[in-house]
Amino acid sequence: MAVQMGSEEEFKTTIAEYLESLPTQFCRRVFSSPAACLAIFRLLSTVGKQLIMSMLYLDAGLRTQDVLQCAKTEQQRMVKAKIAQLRRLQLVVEERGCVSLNPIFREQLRNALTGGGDFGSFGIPYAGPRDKRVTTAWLARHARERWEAILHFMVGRSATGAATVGEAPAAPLSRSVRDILRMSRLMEGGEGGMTITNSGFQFLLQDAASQVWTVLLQYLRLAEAQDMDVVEVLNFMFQLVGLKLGRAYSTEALTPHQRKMLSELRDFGLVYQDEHDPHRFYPTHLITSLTSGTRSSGAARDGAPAQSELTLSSDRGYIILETNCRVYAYTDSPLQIAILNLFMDMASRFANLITGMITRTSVRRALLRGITADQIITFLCTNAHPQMQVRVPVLPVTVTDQIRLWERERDRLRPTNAHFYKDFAQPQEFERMFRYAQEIGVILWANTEKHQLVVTRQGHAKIVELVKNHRALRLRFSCRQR
Amino acid sequence: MAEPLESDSSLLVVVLDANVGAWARSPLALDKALQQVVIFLNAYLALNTENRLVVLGATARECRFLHPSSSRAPEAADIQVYEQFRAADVRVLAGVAALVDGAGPDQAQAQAQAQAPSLISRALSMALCHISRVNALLTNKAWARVLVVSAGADSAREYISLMNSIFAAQKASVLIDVCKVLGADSVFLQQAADITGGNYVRVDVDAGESLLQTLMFTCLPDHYTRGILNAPYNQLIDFRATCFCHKRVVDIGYVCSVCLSIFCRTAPVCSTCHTKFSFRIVGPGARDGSSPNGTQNTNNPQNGSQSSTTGTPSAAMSSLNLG
Repeated sequence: MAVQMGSEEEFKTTIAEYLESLPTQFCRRVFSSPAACLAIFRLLSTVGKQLIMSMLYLDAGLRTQDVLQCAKTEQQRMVKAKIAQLRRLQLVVEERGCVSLNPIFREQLRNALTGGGDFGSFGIPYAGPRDKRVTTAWLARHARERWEAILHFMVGRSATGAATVGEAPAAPLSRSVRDILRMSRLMEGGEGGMTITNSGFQFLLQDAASQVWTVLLQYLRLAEAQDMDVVEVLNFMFQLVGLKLGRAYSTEALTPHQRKMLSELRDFGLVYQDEHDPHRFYPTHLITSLTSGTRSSGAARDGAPAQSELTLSSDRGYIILETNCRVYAYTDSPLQIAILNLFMDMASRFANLITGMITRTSVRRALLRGITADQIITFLCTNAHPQMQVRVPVLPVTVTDQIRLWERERDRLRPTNAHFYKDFAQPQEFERMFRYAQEIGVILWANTEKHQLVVTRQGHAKIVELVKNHRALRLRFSCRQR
Repeated sequence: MAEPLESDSSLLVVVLDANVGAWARSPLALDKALQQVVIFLNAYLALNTENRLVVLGATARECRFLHPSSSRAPEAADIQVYEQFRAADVRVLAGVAALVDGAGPDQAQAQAQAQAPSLISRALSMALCHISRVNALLTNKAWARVLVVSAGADSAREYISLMNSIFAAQKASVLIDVCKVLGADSVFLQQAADITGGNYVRVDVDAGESLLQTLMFTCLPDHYTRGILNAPYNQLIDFRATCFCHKRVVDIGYVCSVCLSIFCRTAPVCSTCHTKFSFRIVGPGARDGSSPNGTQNTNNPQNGSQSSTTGTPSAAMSSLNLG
């Protein structure tokens, strides 16, 4: 699980970094909504959450020393780092050796827990009659179709070709979707001729939650570029994260900006809104499951769709990997085949099965596109067939090791700027320079027999200095002799 | 089980002592305390969306599951509260109200019950059964713990069943946290927390301590965080056992060497396993060469720790006749 968490953690830190970069004034406004406070709180690490909860109902500050004393001796450094992180996020204030919560954050997080404060922070449910057609399962399918249409577009297949995935051909991608794909450098090129980039390939191999985070962050940057109010966008985003799946919410109280945002998120499948009925919208699992830490829990909770629906494909796991690097994938989705094609050589294709091999050339092809070995392994691991999932470890060690070795192969050459010395007049001169270079640790390569020496660029400056000094010294010495 | 990871979800079973009689004597009213507990529950749910919560209510007469219950929470009454919280809050509040009302109609009976302590041991066994059932259903285990919010006094009658629950919890690596809101320290629950590795805290409301703050500080951390944070300082724990015959807490007792039952006075036959003892019984003052470290504290592995206040070695029924 730890490996799988990796990519998502990364994106959580990215959103955290984004929040850190916000000026104080903005932060204060973001914290003014209970929903935002709760969503931010959920993005923190476990220790950070505990620290905040411990201080939530304390009116006075705690002495930093006392907080550190709560932790075991060997963990104090880590706790200190967590406090520093909370301070960067402006959640806690540290002054005169005391830590306390940001007063606005404290008040609104209390409101989130007790249900007070801002009216309708967690969305206003739609009061009208229910739409029988819209169920959680239906929403999950809708969201998946939309999301896969985008991924299809990225791998260069027309969205309408995906008839096998969803029966209704998805609408062509809207302008805002294409803008975001281009802005995030997942794709490049002008209208009509967009091609996928290396980071786009990496994007494809991530799990859905990380992908959604990437898109949302880009959306924030796009909003900044369009002079929209970032705080409004952020708050609405956090509000959407806190909504309940399968319930209709009213658009009455939304601002024009939020309505615009809603219609754009609709294109990504993050929310669903009927064109003929703009008064209500439904959040989909893509956005409501964002703040849940793991995607790997077993039994489905009430109301939430089963885990199989939350993963991108309709099948849960479909890949079988043998110790001889042979891959069997039970899939007929062109998207999945295209993703697999990134790092394996296809051998044959049947109605519901493709076979292929992971070879050195295929893996190197993926590596050249910037995909890392870990990403490949994580992808195979997440999408492994249920029969593979029961094994420990899930993937054959021989294959995972081999993929990592192939990655390391590419690291054999490392370019460094350097200077090459040769043809020394006297062996003593070489000896002296060699010893000096050794002392300051700048030698990249040396051959004492041929009297050749390669040093780094920083070392070169110092050696020139040495030679100059020495020459000057010798000159003076010879003058005196004369 | 492996080491807990940061991403692991947890399962918390809260046992609420809803004994009206006990709460009536407290400086903190039941409804006030309940509000604070509900905020704590929300805080727990806020930690991780995967966190599971079970709430059990215990009175002197019955124990009932309050939170995951078949009764549907009313739809969308209060839209200011986060969905996930509201379902739990409404059920807990309504459930406790129902429990309290259930004791109401018959005044005489209610009076009698008010004196009797709540059925904590029964609630604990229900909690443990629930935990093992949930963990059997889940593919990846959730780290489980139990929180007992207790108001009443110990009931000596419950000693044996409580001890059995405690050791079952220890085997299943379930922590038992105890938050004693009023009254004297509970000897049994102290032992429960100590044996399972949980925290025992006593909230002194009169001295200005807040129940909520105590809960947040000591009972909120999950298995992973407890590996990082220090446990709160625990005062000396009373490890005395209760005899099986008269349900009295004993300093010195007699232990059956076959089934380890504890008695406060000598008997020719063990009432639990019906073993006949020989009459050459070793009394507390007699020459005792067989067992200087009596097994009075049952088979608790930690009873040799510094926290035991009553280190008095007890006499055992050392010689016995197996017929």
